[in-house]
Amino acid sequence: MRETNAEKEFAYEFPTAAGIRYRVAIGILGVLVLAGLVAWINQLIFGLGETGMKNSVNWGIYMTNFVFFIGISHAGTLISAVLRLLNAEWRRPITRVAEAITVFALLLGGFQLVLDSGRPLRLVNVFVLGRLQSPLLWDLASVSVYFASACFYLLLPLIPDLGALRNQPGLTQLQKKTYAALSSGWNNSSRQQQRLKRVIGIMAILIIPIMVSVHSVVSWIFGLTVRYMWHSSIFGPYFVVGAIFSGVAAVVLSVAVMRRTMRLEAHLTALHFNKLGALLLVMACLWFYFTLAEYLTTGYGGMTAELAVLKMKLSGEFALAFWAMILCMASAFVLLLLRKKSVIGMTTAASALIVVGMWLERFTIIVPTLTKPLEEGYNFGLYRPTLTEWVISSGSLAGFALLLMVFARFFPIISLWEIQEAKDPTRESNIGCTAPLISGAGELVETNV
Amino acid sequence: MDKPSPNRVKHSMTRRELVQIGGAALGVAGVGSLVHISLAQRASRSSPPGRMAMLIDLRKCFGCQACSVACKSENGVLLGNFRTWVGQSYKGKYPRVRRHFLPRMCNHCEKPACVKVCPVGASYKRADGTVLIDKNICIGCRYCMSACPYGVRSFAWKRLPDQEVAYPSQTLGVVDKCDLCVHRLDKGLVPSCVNTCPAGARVVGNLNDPDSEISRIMADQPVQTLAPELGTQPNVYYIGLDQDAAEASLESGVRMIPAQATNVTDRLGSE
Amino acid sequence: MSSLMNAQGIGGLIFIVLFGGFAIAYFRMWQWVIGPDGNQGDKDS
Repeated sequence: MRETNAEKEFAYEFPTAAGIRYRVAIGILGVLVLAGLVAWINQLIFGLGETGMKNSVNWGIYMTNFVFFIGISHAGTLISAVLRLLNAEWRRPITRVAEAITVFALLLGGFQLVLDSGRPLRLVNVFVLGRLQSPLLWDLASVSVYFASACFYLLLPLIPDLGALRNQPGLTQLQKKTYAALSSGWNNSSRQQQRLKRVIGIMAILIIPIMVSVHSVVSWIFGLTVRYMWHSSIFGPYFVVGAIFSGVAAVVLSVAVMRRTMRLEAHLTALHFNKLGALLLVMACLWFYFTLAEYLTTGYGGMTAELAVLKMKLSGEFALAFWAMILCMASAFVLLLLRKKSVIGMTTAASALIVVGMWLERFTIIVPTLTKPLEEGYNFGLYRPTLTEWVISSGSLAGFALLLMVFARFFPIISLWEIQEAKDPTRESNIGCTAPLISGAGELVETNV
Repeated sequence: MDKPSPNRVKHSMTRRELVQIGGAALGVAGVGSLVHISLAQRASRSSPPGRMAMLIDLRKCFGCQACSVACKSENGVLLGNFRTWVGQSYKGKYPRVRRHFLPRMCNHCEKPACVKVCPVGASYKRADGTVLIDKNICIGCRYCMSACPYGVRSFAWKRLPDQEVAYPSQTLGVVDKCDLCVHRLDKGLVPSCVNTCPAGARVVGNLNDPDSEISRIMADQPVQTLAPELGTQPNVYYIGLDQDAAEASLESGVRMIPAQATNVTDRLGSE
Repeated sequence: MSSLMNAQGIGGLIFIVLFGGFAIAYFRMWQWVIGPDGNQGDKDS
């Protein structure tokens, strides 16, 4: 961590002014979201035939997006919970954004199931008539518990910051009211601080099995069927590893963008990218190992029907997607190994490749198994996503980015009290003391606790 | 007023009581409606017990596709969907070549993978053994389509232009499949495909009844099912099923035009 | 066996119990953190 004398260098400008770049970005994302909504309404009117899905390949990129987003949501838990438990000090500036990513990714991920449903208005049936034997219902249960936990895990550590900031000049009326409401009752007493730390500690432990259960259950949607190359006992751990992998990469990307656009270079340094890069390397090794195990078992075992699916991935209709995925992951691996040359740039580039590669991984797991028969024909044959699906998918991604950007504008995207706690661990009343870290309108303000 | 008036104290107590009573009433209403819906649903799905099965004699089938057509017209199956079809493949090389015909449909399995995974219970197995879809409940998630290893389910992808749904098979956004023509079975008729087959290759009946035609034939003949290793225990039996033709059919699904019939020999050989 | 496969209607109950249970637990934890002195506004050392 770069030592600095002037505390003003450490200052994080909050409330953040909405510059022209921010407004343009919001505008573009808003347009993408609107386009997605229009495409969705079109799909609701004319049916799912607007997509490229068919009787054989009855799941396509909506399910891919679903697994992808739920995977991304594992970011927060790993960084916020696991690193907390391991006392990794470098996690402090990135816990907030990781927790926010978790909440928004879960929202968008769950929404993909609504997009994919043939009768979305009947989705309430899942609650009224839900069958305990269905992995989709386990999915509903575990994802909703994870969502509740993620929201709590985001809001609870936010309280001290909001309490300190509620009288900050420059807040909008809505912000003031929200801050006051969310932090109501918080007075930064030592008892409250102790209790807060205790609950955060409990949550850090509790949320890990919840996280593992979520993506295990998602994997079992596929793994518990008898379809060729789905019915694999490795799916549970494979998906969890892949989720953490993609989640950390998503955090790196978000942190890289935040760093430049919000001028947080002092808080988010090469050290963080280096550590995150090391974490990504470990996850990459795990991911490669599981992938190898999966394909080696299928290929060597040689069951005819499984080989037919494997062949489609390795050299057939899905070879492009499969080898593009391998190329993304391998390039990311090399970039991460050599990241010392330009830590921030190379780790960020590797993360972008990983995110793309993981989306391709979900795609090559879901679609080839379903592709039967192979030859073209009405309602059968090779799946090709239509414009509707691409527009809705990009709208979903834009929605995720939009939520994150709006959150970063109106809430402190860095956990200020955690940084303050690290700077002076002996001082008990660190929580809620954001003063040296905040600059509003370019000035230091008094602590107001 | 310095001391709280008795009226004011009573008012706040009554409000809290109201909330409690309201909450309890809502809870009872909620649970009650859940129970009511479940019971009503169970009632409408009742049937006499049995094990409905179909036996297809492949020595008799010559691939005329009359069963496919009859089923389509009986059930109003949408364009591109099939509740039953006859797959074709051939083995060997002229002059030593043989064409195989394999009529396919929902197997109405004893352990249906589709019923297992349905999140809302729209796919269910009736007491008489038929596996059916409740199109009023189906949410169109298509998990059953993914779970079925036989690829017998289709989906109503497109909204019909005239907005009219003349047959349940055409219900938008829900899954469709062969239902053994239960609307005919319940009246004592045989399914349309069985009725139409000019070769009499299809026989339907209750396997639990030892005197039914299907039980009598199966007592005499060795029969085969599709992919028995998957554990679904299908109830569609074949006499004279060629194993390669069966595997090719599971891989390639619908083959309606003879020219597109799978060459089974090539499939196993050079690839 | 078929009755086990077809038993249903408790999905919503499971959801309410699990999600509701966790939500209530989190709410109570929040209240515990804020604590009984939360509304007094004074700070004890």
